[in-house]
Amino acid sequence: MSNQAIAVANPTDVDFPADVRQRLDEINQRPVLLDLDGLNKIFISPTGQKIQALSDFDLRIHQRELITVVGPSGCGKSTMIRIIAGFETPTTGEVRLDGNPIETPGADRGMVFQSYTLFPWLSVKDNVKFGLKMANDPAAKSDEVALEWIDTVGLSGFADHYPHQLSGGMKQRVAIARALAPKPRILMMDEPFGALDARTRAQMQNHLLEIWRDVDVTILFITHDLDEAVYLADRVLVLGSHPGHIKALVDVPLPRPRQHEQIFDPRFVETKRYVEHLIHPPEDKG
Amino acid sequence: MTDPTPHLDHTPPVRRKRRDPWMRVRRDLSPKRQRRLVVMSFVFPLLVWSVLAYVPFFHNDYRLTITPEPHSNKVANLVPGDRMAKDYFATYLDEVRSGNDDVLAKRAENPDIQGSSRANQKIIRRIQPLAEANGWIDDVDTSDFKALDAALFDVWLGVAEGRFTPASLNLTDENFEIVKANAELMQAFAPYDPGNKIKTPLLNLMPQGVSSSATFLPAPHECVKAMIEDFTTKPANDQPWMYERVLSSLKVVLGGFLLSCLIGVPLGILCGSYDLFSKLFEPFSDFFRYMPAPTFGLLLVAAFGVGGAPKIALVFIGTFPHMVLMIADTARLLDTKLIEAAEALGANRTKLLRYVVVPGILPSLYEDLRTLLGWAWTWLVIAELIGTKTGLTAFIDMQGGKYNFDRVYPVIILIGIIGFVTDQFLQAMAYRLFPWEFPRHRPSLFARIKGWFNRGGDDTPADPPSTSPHTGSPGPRRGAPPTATPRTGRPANPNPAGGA
Repeated sequence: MSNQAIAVANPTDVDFPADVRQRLDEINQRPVLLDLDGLNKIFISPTGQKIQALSDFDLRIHQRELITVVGPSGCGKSTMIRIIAGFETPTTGEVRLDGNPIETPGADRGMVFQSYTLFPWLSVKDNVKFGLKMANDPAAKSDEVALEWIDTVGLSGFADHYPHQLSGGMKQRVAIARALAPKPRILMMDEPFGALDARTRAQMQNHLLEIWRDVDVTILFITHDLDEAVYLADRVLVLGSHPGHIKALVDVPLPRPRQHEQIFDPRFVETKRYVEHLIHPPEDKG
Repeated sequence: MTDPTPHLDHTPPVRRKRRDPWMRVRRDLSPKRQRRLVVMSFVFPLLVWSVLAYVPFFHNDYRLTITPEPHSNKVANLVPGDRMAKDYFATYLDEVRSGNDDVLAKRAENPDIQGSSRANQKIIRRIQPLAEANGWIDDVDTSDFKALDAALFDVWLGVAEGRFTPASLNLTDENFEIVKANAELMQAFAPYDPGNKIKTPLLNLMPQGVSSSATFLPAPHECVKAMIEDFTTKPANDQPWMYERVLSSLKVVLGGFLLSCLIGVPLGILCGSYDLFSKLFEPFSDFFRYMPAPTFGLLLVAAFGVGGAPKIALVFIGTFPHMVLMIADTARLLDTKLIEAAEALGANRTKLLRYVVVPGILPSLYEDLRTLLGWAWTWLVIAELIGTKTGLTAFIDMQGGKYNFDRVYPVIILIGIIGFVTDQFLQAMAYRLFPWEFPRHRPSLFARIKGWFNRGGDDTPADPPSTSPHTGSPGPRRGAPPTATPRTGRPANPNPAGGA
């Protein structure tokens, strides 16, 4: 199924508030930041079998959008993000960032992983400075920029701590600061809050939205938590599995700023139910 | 909730001191117990050694005190201090007794028989250990053979007449009779005159010995005595001092090891990081390490001469292939996610190696090198035996050849101590160098004091301030779950304007 085949139709479109509709239209008119053009990825297993991970991925992500990706296991979420990051090359097709094809990893695409990938031998401050140092940015010489970022993610006072002295939530805050410090065009997050407990996760979601409001960055956010997907996103990308393909791109009819009581909003519940049905169609159940 | 009624049925609980069990699967003991056990782990082997060396039940040998020359070559010529298995001692006794019987038989046959005065001289001299043990010849210069012979001659007569009574090293009754019998003959030649020698064959003293531990297990105090002697007295024959031997051994071990590090560490890291190097170097290293390093000994001597070079080369050959393979494996164990994270932050190939791979594997690398240094000590023994024998091993080889095991043990233990202390020191350094690897390790006193100065005394690194133990993140206090306060105007988001 290609992107065009699925209508961006949404059963909840009966009730799109005018300001939300307007906002989504405005996003759609922004220039395309990331363009996935007919991506196919075939892995060859050690036994020689061909495994198709991605099938005909077509997707355009606009500037300063927050798009979440959900789908069952084996839907190619991680493969997609790894291709965009440049860790894998697609078998056919192309990824373009601002119109330029992507071939290798680069600082213009920040990554936050589910496992804590802070450098354990560096302090929080030096972790945040890492990207600047790699880019030979003079800002890496002083602490100023790093401290600003640490402040932004709410960790003032922890600049000289080491990762093993931080909790999981704090580590992910540092990871976000570190990814944002070199000013990437897009921040890709691969189930970043998956390992956190529910309360910390809720805090981190709001915190991420707050950062995103202040920072000029597009976010591509993978999750398996539908609440999280709908709560955070302008649009939810729903993937299907075997092979991984795009099922639908669902507009979220919720105004911003988001607040947690919105999860009781009928529109939130409707959207979530619709996404749930896309992932597990009722006839598949049982 | 029901109203708690603590005042009812209030019987004081039976106070029983709970004793922690000593053995629980995968549970640590208290630090006090751990310390006790660590001490025990050293005391116990020492105790076993002492029991085997001091308890007569385990004694298998005699340490000989009086060692007559045997009649035939059935028994080797021995000197006082030598050890002999108890079983074999009987043979020695029989041997000497049959010699004496022989003498008596010949004398009975012909009372005027003339034997060798030289043989008699040897017999007379064998009483020297008794004289020495009792301090009867303390004022005699033992290097002056004439004076010594005269003194020993007098000892025989004195013991027989009762002028000398042995206080230590008692003579057996049999030997006392022999002394008396010989003294009777010697009387005619007193006082001693080297020109007037007794020709009638004398009787040999019977062998005597004290029960002792086996030859290969000298008692601890003997080892300590030998060690003090070896470390404080100038060795004979221009042999090097013990500390010179230690330095020489250290030079070989560290020379070989550091040379190996110089090439092995970078190569190992490259092999672990790049498949190109891995496939180019690792298969051969894997093959090479199965060729025993000692077999190259003579080749190395032929190539590098008899000096220190072949020894260092042997330690190198023994360590290097293992080092490459071990470090390559270590480098491969680095979490690929860290590498990907760095790549996504713009690290290029060289920066990736320098800023991620090297610091990332440093703690494990350090650990590997610590292990490999231990192996290098193993190769030392063989290295020091090729070409000219040098260092501590040469000493062990020399003294071991003479069965002076009381001199061998201290050196073996010394090598152990050098290795152990180095290892413990390096381990302690690791806690300081790589604190993130040992989050559960209590920071050293030094580190804690340094921490107070750095932070003005209000903070310790292991306990960050304002961290809720539940969520582990700064921000809303406990008791304010994000979704629980929607209507109070205090949303969970610390900043209500959050979101775009």
